[in-house]
Amino acid sequence: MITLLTLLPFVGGLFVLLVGRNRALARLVAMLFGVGALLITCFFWWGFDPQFPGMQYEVLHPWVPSLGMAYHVGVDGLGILMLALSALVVVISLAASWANENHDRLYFALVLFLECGLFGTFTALNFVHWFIYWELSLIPAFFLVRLWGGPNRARASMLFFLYTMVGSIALLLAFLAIFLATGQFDFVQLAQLGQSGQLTTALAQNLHWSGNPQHLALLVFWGAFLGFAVKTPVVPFHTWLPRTYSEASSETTMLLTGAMSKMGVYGFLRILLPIFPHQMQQEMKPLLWMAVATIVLPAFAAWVQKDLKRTFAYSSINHLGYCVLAVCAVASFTGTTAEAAIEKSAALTGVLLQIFSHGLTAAALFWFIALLERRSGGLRGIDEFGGLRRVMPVFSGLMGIAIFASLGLPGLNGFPGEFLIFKGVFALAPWAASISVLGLLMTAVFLLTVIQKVFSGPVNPRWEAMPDLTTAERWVFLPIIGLMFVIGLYPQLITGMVHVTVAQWAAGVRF
Amino acid sequence: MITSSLIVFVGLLLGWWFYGRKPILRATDPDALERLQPGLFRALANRLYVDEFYEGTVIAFTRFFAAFAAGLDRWVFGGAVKLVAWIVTGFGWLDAGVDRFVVNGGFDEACREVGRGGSLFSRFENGRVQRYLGVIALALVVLGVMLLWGHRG
Repeated sequence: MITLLTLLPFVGGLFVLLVGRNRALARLVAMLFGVGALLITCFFWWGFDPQFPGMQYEVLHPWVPSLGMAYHVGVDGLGILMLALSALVVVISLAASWANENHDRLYFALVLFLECGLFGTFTALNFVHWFIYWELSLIPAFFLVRLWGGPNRARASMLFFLYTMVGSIALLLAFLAIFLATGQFDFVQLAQLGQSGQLTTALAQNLHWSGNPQHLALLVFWGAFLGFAVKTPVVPFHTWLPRTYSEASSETTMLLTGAMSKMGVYGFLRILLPIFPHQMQQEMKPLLWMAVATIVLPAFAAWVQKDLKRTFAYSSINHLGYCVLAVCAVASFTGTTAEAAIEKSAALTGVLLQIFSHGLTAAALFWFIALLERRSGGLRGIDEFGGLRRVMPVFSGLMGIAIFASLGLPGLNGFPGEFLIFKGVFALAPWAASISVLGLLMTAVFLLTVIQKVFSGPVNPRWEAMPDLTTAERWVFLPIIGLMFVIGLYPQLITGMVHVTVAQWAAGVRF
Repeated sequence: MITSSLIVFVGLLLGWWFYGRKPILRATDPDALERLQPGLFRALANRLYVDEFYEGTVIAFTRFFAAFAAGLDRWVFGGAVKLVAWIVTGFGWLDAGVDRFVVNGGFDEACREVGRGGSLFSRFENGRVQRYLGVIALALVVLGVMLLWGHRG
């Protein structure tokens, strides 16, 4: 079934390319395949047993056994959540592209190819198989940024590609070293070796390392870390993001921030935390400082941006910083008490909620920006609007809800994740949580500044005739905004699916 | 209870002292407190300068730090990336220069020399018997000169 789900968007992409130059038909076919993938994901969600401690829908076929390669796929609480998020964000992005005349059949095909890459990445349990999808997803993303977007998109796409490639090469080298030392590429097996400490010994012994074994293990860890730190991104490996997000078309940015950036956090949870817990614990200070910097600096930088897309790009870095902070805090704490396990579970549950919530909210926010751009002839400067709530009350109201969700207002989807992250991190790494609160505060400052400058004050005479959301747009936004309330008021929808996975992680990260 | 009641009565007394004894008849008349304590009145009228205090401290620092964070992003992190890009581009140019002028240049020059040598030697091998006999004669002369020179030595 997972294979079918992964291949469906790929086949859809080929179909879209084959339907000819008819844009309307291409977008319809793309939407059908996107919705089909979402329905299959819902079927997975429905059939997923949240109490089962392990991988579900698992498929394991030997591929090249001598090289440790196997076709090994499956999902746990994290995997099912990522599948649902990817499928949802792709459908939202396709809906946003519906009225964008610049997006032709190639665009829609690339979106589906990217979805295939995302599904593959979130279900693969063998490094080689996983890495192929990880890299494949980069190719459609590169062309989506390169072919549709702002005037500096060529430079932005090159920066995005090169940054990610540097990270990927470091990651590949790290895993080649691991394979040479252990003969394993399987994540589940490697996690057992990592948690028992055998990985460090095996690396030193089998790679004929004459120095301190810990140093070699740390070197391998930092290589793997770089790959995920670029993708997430973590400060200081983040400078590709504001430029890429602001230069790519808003519909592409929805995909990048809603689904693709989650690949980095997924890597932290699926690979770094289970396979390198000792190394993360050893390097906790620089890791926590990087996480704090990822939260605080972009929040401040977002405040002085003049471009709405750049503001929300920095906001994305800041929001994913909370996830990195929680993962690093969990790894940094050495206690094995029941209280520690509870706090670790809280922090990790918060991460999963934050991943899903941010994906949904960020995709919605960039869609609102896309609509604003389309109605204003391509403008998106914060100071170029004003008083929009009088001329576009529905648009302003719904975007306001999405902004408040991003801000972490109780009752909306941003709150439970951030609350649980801070609840856990305050107990595990109090100093890091205390400094990171500044990021929460600044998030409120810059998001309220956006509301004030764009929606309040006197109406800019240029936009007095700006049309509000159409009926069709309102109907499309309704389920998205509704989901924000549902997750905000009933987070058990997600926590109920992931709690066994989280409990296993929390139990696994012991020293 | 007694303390709070006392505070209430002191407040009432102060209110009567300022405003009850000599009521303000017109809106344009100065306030009693303004007449008696102009400094205190100004401070109260400006909300004890709390807003100004925040503007000069917390908000000023936040503005500065936001500009600093954006600058850090643009100049330090972005600068580091640019530096790496320049270094890599520099190496690229250096490599291209070595390729073009040293490797290609040397190889091309060697090829040209071989070509020139070939064209020079081709003059001796043009298919005409007269030229071959001439070359043989020249070679014999050179050989004879060398033998004679060696014999004398």
